[in-house]
Amino acid sequence: MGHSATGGHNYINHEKGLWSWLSTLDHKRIGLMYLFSVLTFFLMGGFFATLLRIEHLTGGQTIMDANTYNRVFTYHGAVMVFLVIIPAIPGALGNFVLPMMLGAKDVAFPRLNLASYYIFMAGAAIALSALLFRGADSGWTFYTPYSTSTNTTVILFVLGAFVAGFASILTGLNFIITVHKLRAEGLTWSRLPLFIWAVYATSIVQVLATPVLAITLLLLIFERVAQIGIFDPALGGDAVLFQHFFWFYSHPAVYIMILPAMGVISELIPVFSRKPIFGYKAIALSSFGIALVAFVVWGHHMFVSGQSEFANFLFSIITMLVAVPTGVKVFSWIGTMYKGAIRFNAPMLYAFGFLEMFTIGGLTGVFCATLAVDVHITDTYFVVAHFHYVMVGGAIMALLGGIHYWFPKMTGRMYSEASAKIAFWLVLVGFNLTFFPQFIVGSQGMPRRYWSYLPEFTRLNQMSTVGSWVLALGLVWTAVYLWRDMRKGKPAGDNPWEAQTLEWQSPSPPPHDNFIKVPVVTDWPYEYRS
Amino acid sequence: MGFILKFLTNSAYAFNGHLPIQATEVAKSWDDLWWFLVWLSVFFFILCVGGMIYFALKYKGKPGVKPTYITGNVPIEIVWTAVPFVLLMAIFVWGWVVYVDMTRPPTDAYEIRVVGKQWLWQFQYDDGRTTVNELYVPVNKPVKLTMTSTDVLHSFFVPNFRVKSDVVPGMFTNVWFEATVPGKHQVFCTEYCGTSHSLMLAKVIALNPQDWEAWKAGKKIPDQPNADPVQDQQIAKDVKPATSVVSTR
Ligand SMILES: [Cu+2]
Ligand SMILES: [Cu+2]
Repeated sequence: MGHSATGGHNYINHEKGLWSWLSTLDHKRIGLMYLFSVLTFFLMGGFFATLLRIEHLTGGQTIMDANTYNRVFTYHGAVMVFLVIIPAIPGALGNFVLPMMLGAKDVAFPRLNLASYYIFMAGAAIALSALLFRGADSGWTFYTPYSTSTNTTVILFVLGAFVAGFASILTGLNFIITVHKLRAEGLTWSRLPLFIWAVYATSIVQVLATPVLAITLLLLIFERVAQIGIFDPALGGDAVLFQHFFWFYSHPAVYIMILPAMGVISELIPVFSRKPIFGYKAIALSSFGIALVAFVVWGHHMFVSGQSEFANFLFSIITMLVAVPTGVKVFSWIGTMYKGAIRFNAPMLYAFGFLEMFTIGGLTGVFCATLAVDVHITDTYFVVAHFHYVMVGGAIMALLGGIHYWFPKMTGRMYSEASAKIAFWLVLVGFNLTFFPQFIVGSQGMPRRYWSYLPEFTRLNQMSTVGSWVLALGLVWTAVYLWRDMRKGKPAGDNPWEAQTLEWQSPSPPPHDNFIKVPVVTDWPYEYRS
Repeated sequence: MGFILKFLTNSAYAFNGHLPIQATEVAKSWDDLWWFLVWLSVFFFILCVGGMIYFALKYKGKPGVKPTYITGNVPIEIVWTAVPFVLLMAIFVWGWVVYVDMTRPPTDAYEIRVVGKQWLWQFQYDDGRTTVNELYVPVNKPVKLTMTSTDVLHSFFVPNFRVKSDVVPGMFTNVWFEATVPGKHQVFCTEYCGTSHSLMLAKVIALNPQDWEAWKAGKKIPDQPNADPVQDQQIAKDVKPATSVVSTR
């Protein structure tokens, strides 16, 4: 399957052999390398999740003891946060799509881009090497003084997250400069696709917030190795101080995870509704509104930590504000569908799934932001359900939608729409069955990070476990047909979705230099009139 | 088939009864706020997801159907920015009011000291008595707990009272409550603290005045029932409770 204008020449067959991939400076290849790595880690994190759910089939011991359980939930959280959701959309989809959407040949610094990938993989390798030693059982949040006193090899996980953080900073820098410097002629700021706006806002958060994580993790390492007395009260430190440092990064990190997802959804909905995005400016600005407010709400993770009443007052009221721009986005996406001519391809189905789950995740976020309500539900399964609705329901649905959307561009082939529909329904039903019962069991008081639980929580936990099997089936099936269709799918054509962003003006798969003819932009990317 | 039916009926049962019992006045005002948020969320969920489904079906693309070119509508956008803002501020104020009730103890509260450590709860009373994993309190009297930890973080959580606070080494934190229902109330540790975190359980035993006086005098008191009858039923008909583990730390 070739393209007449390029003589069948594209970025995949441009050079051959494993080494040509490992040493590539092509953003498209680096994007795919991120994609494969992230999906492998996703499989790993999902495997841990399945173990956790099986353990919860009964209130007592089902398949593992408490110490194993504590390790497995730590691996699940750390892998999913640091190795999957944070890098997934910027690293994989961002790398592949962003330069093309800008009409550029590559990112501003291709070498730095490749270096970022290897720094990320080095961080992953360091973190996971802990599994060869005594593992880690601190939870992904590394709360002190437990993390500084446990005899597991938490330090390798901390070091891994520290190293991977640099990849995040460098990728952010690279994207910011690329957006500033490499836009095609005529691609003014007010014509930028919303995916670019979202990734750009994310990049700023990555560059500004990640160094705080680096410092925090470094202090944690010093504390563990040299017993300095920063976070451990037994040494004269302050246990709550760590939480302030940690969430000063990790709350903005929530937006590093969700903003790019919102960017993907902002592309999918107009394309498949055949209509301009509703409220372009409001959506672009709300990304910045969210990014800005994200820096001053970290204390909402600490309403019962012992921090002052006044701090709780401030963090609660500011957190409420996050819901405003978030609501604006949701309403605008739904408004985009009004009087459209909607197509039900898999990417759009995932956008629907995103809206269902993200609406629930967002609304339950208001419960968590409400001071009195949070006192009862914090550190229970209610919170677990809430952030899975936001992170999986938001970030992962958008990732799946984005993968299906750009699959024809990446591979030149079309995935099977029938297979994708089956997978979507399994994922939708499985996800809701897994996580909705957790809201109930949490509001009834079941704490999170519990290896065993009281008998009255059994039914809801079993529902959740059955749900996790349906969800796993849907995801495994997705991996199977995407692997199959990547090689055997029907040729897709250059622009199967009739989309208007620049990447679709290039052949599928694109040539090494992205475009045959340097694109010139004359209009905004949502000019759908038929 | 029978299995599936049984699973579904049992699941319906699990959704029933939803919140823990209301064993304090604060629990009642907490529940009012909770149900307000639940119904508000149901409203917005139907508005958003219902709207999405309605549009998806109504504006399904068919040959010959042309979409309408709309790029925005400023009045509508102002409404859907301003209305949520006002609602959220109202929710904040309501949450703050209940929070203040929940966390500021009355000055005449009876004080008990609490020490959390891996993996048990120790309670010290004004007369020098100490109990482990059983906190004896009088009903209808405010009780204030002053808590600390001797090792890592823990958190003291009583669902029936809707109160919770982390228990932090090197620092004192408080919770207060006035139990209105006598009997045993479940206590959980809700801050991850290692191997037996999920077994770091305790009971608040709220005694009526007679039993409280007897207990204070060091006399034997009758066995107290669970304040929430769900706990008895479930233990009778369900799986065996978790057994404790041997620490390897
Ligand atoms: Cu947060
Ligand atoms: Cu604990």
